[in-house]
Amino acid sequence: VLLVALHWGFSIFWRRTRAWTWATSALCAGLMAIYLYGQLPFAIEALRWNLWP
Amino acid sequence: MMLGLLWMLLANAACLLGAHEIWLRCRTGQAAADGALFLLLRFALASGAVLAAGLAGALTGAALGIAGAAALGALLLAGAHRRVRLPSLRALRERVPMPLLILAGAFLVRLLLQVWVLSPHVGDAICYHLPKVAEWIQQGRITAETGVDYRSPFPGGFELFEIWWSVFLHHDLLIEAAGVETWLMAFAAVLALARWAGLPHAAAFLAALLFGAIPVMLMQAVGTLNDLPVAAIFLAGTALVVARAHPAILLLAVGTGLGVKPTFGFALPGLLVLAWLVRREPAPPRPGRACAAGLALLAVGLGSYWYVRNAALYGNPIHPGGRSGFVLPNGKVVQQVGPSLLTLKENLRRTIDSRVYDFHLGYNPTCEMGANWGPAVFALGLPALLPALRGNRRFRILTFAMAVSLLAVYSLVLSDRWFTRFALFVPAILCIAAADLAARIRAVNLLAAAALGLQFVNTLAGDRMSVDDYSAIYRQPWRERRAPMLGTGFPEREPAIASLQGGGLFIYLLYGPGFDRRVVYIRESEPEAVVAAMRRQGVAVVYGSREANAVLKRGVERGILKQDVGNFFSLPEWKEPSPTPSPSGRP
Repeated sequence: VLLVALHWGFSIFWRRTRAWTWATSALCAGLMAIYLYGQLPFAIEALRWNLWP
Repeated sequence: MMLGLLWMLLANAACLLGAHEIWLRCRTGQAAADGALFLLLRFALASGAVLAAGLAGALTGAALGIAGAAALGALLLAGAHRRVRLPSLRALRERVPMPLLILAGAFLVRLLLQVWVLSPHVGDAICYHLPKVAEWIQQGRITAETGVDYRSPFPGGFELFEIWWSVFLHHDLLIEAAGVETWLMAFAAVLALARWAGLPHAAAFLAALLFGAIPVMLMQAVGTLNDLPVAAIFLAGTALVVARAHPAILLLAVGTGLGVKPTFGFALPGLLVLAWLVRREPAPPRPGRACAAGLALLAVGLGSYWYVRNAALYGNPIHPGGRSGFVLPNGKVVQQVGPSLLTLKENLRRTIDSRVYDFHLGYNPTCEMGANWGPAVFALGLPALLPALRGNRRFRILTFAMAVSLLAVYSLVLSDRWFTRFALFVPAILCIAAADLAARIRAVNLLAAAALGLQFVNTLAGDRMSVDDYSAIYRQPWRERRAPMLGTGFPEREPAIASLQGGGLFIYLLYGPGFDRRVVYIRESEPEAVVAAMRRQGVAVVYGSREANAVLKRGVERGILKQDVGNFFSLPEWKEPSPTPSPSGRP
């Protein structure tokens, strides 16, 4: 929530600039990393099951 | 089987052509919303046909096939086939990039393959949804019997559509196709909503694909559960509201949804708010009175049947719920009745604090301890929401309506391990926002592709079944394909098995994939009465459960029953029949 709020605050001043694009991409990648970190044990198990049963 | 296949083809051709004829008279003129409308009409017509046949005592493939052939003949004579215009693939190719089309095709092909190789295996479905399907197909009519699970009297609108996919072959081989059709309905509805919100064709298609690829959507599509159908019908209703469809069409969505699950009704406030907010949008031409009246009648029939039935059978339309909620015999409240601010607060807190991260359990179709929205919704949808809200009025309207629905649902459902599955329409908004962002930023597009790939692979096997369980299903010949939950040593050759009242039983599996084993339901609580009922019904084996086993074990102590493998108990004199020798002499 904090990250998304910060990003939104950023977008008020630098909306649709190159900096905003970079910040948005970084935020998405960061959130993806956070999600995958939590899901990793299950994801690895599922990948192992599905790709190398 | 070949005759069943013929009946299935005839009935489906009649249903599709009939839905098309109605569609021509009430479509909105907005392509994607009309796609969702066509699938909704098809769902309602097939469900209505099964309901009518079931109540008339003609729930057989032959009866439905002959009726379908007659309807098809009448439609062909009326020239209905000449009015069919298939959607243009060339137009789609011009509007949507090829990689997106290939990706969507891969998801659809994967689901269709799963329809073939999977067999019903999700706990809730095989405990209390599907026993109705098996029992009614076996009996050739809709009876008062729904099984002995406490939840079995719940509305069974989706089960009607599952019967449509099973009755012709008298087999559950294609039963998952019912869920895949609702997956397509959800896809079309999100596409329509994204287009309405102003997204270009390619971005709207990505939004629909992101929604269709949500882990819980993929798993429910082939999981024979009814939460995806509820979400699909709700989103189709939302798309039809913004397309300003005629009230009779909206009533059809509401009736169909309420017949599938009462939670659909919980989300209705948002739909009403949306209808008010878009009241000044231009409306399409109105359908004729006869068409509108027919749709309204179908809606009322599909929506009210289950509640009227429960009122007649149990004196309470929302049975097994009551004034104190849905309470199990042991006093545990498993569902509340009426809104609660405390529940709303808990559900919101848990969604934000833990469920969206999906870190408690692997993906599973019942959303146990996780929203199962996947990385695309979480990592792309959440940051995309605020920019989309800021710059797009229509998106704000949609989000507001969905938020009202979310708050209504969350205030009405108990904060249990599975509550997020009652609001599966919510991630649609996040998918539209994510696709809007991806259309502007290339890196987001790449992340979306990565997330879609992960979701594709990680949803092939759920955490509740091991890969060995899946392999066990896949390896069986299609005629005998059955999930392995009954365990080894299950009395395969017994022609009839009794089942005792109590939750957590995989009763559906007792029927067998071809619905050829008789299942006798016993609602006694004393072992002597159970045994007397078994003897009266000519059944020697009874299937218990964690709860029912206490009764059956008392019977074992008293020497009137013996325990066999797992949850199976039998009369003392019973011996498992020896296998019939095959003509070749091999076992």
